[in-house]
Amino acid sequence: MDYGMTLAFVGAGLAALMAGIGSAIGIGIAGRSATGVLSEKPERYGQMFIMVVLPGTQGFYGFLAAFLVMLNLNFFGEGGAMDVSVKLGWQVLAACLPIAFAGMMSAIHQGKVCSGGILMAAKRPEMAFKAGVVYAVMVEVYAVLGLLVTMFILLKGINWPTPPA
Amino acid sequence: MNNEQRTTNLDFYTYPSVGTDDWCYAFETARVRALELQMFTRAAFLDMANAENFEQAADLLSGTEYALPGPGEDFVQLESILLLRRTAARKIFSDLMRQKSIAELFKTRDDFANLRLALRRTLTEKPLLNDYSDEGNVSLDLFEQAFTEDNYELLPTYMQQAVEQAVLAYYQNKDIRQIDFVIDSFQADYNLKEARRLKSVFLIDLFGIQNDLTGIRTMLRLKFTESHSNVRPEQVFLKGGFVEPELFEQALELGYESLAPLFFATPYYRIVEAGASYLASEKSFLRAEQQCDEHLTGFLKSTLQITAGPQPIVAFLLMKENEIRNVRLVLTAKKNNLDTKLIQDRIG
Amino acid sequence: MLANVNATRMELLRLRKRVALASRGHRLLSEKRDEISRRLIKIARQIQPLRERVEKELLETCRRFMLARATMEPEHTKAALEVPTKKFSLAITFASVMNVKVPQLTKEIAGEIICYGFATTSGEMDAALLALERALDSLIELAEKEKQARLLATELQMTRRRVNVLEHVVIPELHETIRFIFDKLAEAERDNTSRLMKITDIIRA
Repeated sequence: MDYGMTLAFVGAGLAALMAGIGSAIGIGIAGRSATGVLSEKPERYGQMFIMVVLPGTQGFYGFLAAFLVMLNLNFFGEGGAMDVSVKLGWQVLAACLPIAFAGMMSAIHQGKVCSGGILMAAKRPEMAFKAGVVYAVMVEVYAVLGLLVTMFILLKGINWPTPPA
Repeated sequence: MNNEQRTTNLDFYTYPSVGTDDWCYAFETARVRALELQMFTRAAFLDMANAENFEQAADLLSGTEYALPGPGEDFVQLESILLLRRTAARKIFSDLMRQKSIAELFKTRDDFANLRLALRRTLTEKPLLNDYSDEGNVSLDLFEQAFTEDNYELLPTYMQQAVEQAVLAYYQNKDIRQIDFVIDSFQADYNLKEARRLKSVFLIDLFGIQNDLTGIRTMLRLKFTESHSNVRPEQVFLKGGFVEPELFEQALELGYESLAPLFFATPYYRIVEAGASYLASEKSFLRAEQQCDEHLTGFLKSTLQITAGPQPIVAFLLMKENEIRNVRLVLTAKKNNLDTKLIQDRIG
Repeated sequence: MLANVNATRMELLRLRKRVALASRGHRLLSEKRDEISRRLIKIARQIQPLRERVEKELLETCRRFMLARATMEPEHTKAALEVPTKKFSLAITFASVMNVKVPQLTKEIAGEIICYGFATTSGEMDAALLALERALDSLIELAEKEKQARLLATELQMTRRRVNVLEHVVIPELHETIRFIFDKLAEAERDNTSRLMKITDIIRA
């Protein structure tokens, strides 16, 4: 496989990999906090659930970006993957970086925010949605921004060659 | 201890730093936070203090973990319940504490208490009974063996050193109090040394505060009993706090009303002010001790900013122990028909 | 007593001497009684405030000790109070008050009452022990005074009984006997006189 294609793979891989790692760490942290609270207060499960799954979104964003790359490179279409020039490869790699890094960092920090929110919710259940979830969503915004940039570049910025007939 | 290790600089306003998060502790911290929810609030204590008699106060406890098994239970039973609760809290603490050396560090408190008792007995040639606390690091059997055979090598290094120093100090003029003084300061040093070894900002600060508070209490007590000519100040004031021991020595020379200004630059201004004036008017340490407890609890509560870390777990242990003491205080006072105001002064 | 008395002049003289002795004894004893009651009242007056003070101090000790015990961990309380540093010895000597042997206590106290370090103990314990120390001084004084009062009271009772016996039994009885003997002797005198008169009449006739 040629050099351009490799770069595109690295891009797609990074997007899924780093955002996934971030989400895993984030959910890990939030999940442990939640189990800690639940071990004493099992009735709080519903409140905890949303805060535990919030850091998971970044993984999906990464996966979505990687999937878009693969789709545009016609992985699943007729005739197999298209030829990718080196220039295009670099472009794809650059497009994937925002969601890869923003996703990873925001997921980890969102996990911490959620963990804090869970602890707060244990003491003040009425604040769980008002503060805990809202603050976590604020971190989420930056992952979404990263995803948006990635998608704009992928869908509008890159001039994809037509797939082979 | 050399000077550069001492953290005597006061670079904080009320409470020193509690350190940073350690994300390994997410589960443990959350568990402790949930457990903290079951702890008594100040209002609950005040309700108990204001109850008309012991039965009413004990009724308020029903539904909590301190509930008496039945009406008309005697006080001995209550004491044993409180001890059970304390053991349970300590167990939770050592289960949740991932850094075993921190758990062990807090267990040394019982080791040192045993050591004090056993040394007093052996040095004054009294029988070495076996009523020691078994919540230390050293098992009771080993402890007993070490003392009956005079073979202190069986004990961990820190206890060996403490025994050695205490025995030396005792034989200087056969003064039993020397044992306590030496073990107190050895324990304070040891705690700080361990905290530094563990590189825990929180523990260093915690022990520093504890040393300072002990210093304040000691200073007030020496003034009150007018016995500061009998003890050498450098023996009783623990080093390694945020306040220089010299400040306490200086305070011994002053009257009650001029104590507070001396501590104006320290975070303990309020404690000294309230404690000294209460001592001067009521001849009692209740307020000073309450203020000290309050200050420590305030510091422990500031671990709320830690989402995950060993700090909230340590804080839980110490606050729980404090709560158990307070329950005992209120019930003792109620049982013996002490003035409600006394309880309020002590609980705050 | 009246039955087996020798109504002789000798006896009369003896009895008169006894009456004089008894009434002197009575006077002395009643003086002693007055003095003892004066001293007793004085001691009793001292006991009252002393007792109140001791009770107050002991109550204070108890109260503070309870507070100290409640705020300290049990093992620390045990370690702190295990071996006391205060040495205490008590010696009894006897003094004589109005010929009554009363005990006097002398105490020797050495060492400090506070026998523990500062880090793990509560200040209330200091206050409790100091109150106890003060209470102990007054307590010994109180014990001494109360024992004295008790002994004096017994003595007072005995003296009063003696005074009463002298006053109401011995002296009246002696007086009665004296009068009896006097009457008897006077009778004998008159008997003698009348007999002599009779004899004189017979001789003259």
